[in-house]
Amino acid sequence: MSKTESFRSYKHRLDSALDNRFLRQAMDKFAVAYRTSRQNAFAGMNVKALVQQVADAKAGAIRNNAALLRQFTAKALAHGIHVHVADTAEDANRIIEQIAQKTGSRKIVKSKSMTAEEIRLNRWLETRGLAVTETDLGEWIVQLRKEGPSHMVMPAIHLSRFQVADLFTDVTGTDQNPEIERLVKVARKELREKFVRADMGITGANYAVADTGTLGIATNEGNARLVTTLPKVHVALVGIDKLVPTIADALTINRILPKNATGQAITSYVTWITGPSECTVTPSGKREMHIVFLDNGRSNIAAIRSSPRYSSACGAVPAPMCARSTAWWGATRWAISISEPSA
Amino acid sequence: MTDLTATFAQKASLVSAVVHQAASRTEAFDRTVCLLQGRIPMTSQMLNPRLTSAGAKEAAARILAAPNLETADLRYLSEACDNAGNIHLLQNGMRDYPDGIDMGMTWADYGIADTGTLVMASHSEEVRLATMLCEVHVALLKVSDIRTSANEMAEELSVLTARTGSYTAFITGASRTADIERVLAIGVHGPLELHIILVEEE
Repeated sequence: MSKTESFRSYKHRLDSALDNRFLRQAMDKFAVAYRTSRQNAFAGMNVKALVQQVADAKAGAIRNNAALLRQFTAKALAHGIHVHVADTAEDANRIIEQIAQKTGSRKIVKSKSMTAEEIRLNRWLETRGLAVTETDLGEWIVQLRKEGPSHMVMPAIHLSRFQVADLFTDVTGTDQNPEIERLVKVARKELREKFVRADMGITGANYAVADTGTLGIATNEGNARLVTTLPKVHVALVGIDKLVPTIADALTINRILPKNATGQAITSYVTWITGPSECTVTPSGKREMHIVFLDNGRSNIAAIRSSPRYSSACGAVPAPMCARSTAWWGATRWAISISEPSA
Repeated sequence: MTDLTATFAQKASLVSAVVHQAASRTEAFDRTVCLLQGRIPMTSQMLNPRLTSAGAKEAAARILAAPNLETADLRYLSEACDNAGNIHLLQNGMRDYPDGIDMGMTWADYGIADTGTLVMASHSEEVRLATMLCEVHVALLKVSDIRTSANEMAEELSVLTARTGSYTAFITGASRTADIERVLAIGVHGPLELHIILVEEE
């Protein structure tokens, strides 16, 4: 974990973040624009009822978590997936490290996973000599800057196009224009090579469907599709709270999550993976697939949540309905993240 | 055009997909070749020249990846490409083209009208790569395969995805990001453009 610091130094960094005009404007713009796009996405729908529907489904899934995990695992094993259960962050890190060792994987590409951020997976793997590349544009930017994400949907919301252009100039060794379209193309080219050379792909999952043994992954960039297609090994790190009973539940989440997260009706890509798919460069013709289910305190929280005194204070839809508070929180998080060395 | 087809076309256009209509599959193939001819051949999508295509791509040729076609369809498309000239038609081996494919053409299994989404059973690696490594993805969709909503077709989706090794792709518009200053930019890791050709036949 990060080193401790004095309150005075923390306050100093917090004040300077709050005094940063760009940062303030970026957060304000996000908070205001997000509200509008969310409203538009939900236009004509009963938002409360829909969010309640997800909340009910999730509450039910949490109550039956152990049974869902058993059901999912039985299906997954039949599909040929290797299933691991990690009680702690350290267990999960160690399991993933061992999969890399066993499969001789040195180069890893990753799509965005808040669960991987939770267990500080990159740091663990990097200190053991593995090369990990984030492939979500925002995550890649903050990784190159040795920072953490400042927001779960918008990891690099605290940075301007000029800062990104400077960063990409350093990375590529050629002057980069601060035009956003062009910066995106720089990432496309730089990361295409990483995809092609990767031995292993790591993803999270937005849900795991117990009835079919299916993982669902939503992205806009399409990076998770390449992460789960080009490398010979796919490891998915999934919190046990992501288990849902049926495909119908998955469809409900597909409808609600992107509206809440980015104000989109649906993300550009939703991928359902049911076991190892075709991989033309392995002897078996299939990809090796592992799922690491992470508890890390979730079952304790589930026990509390199942008690009658618990209300729906925690978000049922783990998306940034917190955008409004992001204005100051984002600045705070930014102030914190720059102080943490990433390796 | 039925209401359902019109809704699909409208919703797909909202997420910057370009929607075309064709009376038959051969017309759709002709349209695809025409779209490809209208484009400047792509430059490598990779910085490292050592990793560029192993395949036999002549200078100025455009690559069209069209995996998993039926024999008659392949014969027709192949002839159309020959007639157009300077098109390299790929059936498989997409992995040898990591630095990019000018155009990928695939059939979609379903269309979902209320979000303008394509559903593609993508167990085949060639289908996945043709739709991921390409600059432009052309998806062919029979109008009879358009459904009202994902919920309405939950049963069909359950069947599709329950199969071992299945890889079901829901595709809505082109690859996009808003990660820099929350400004929308199209074409990050996937296609820069998505064209959907609605095929009226059958």
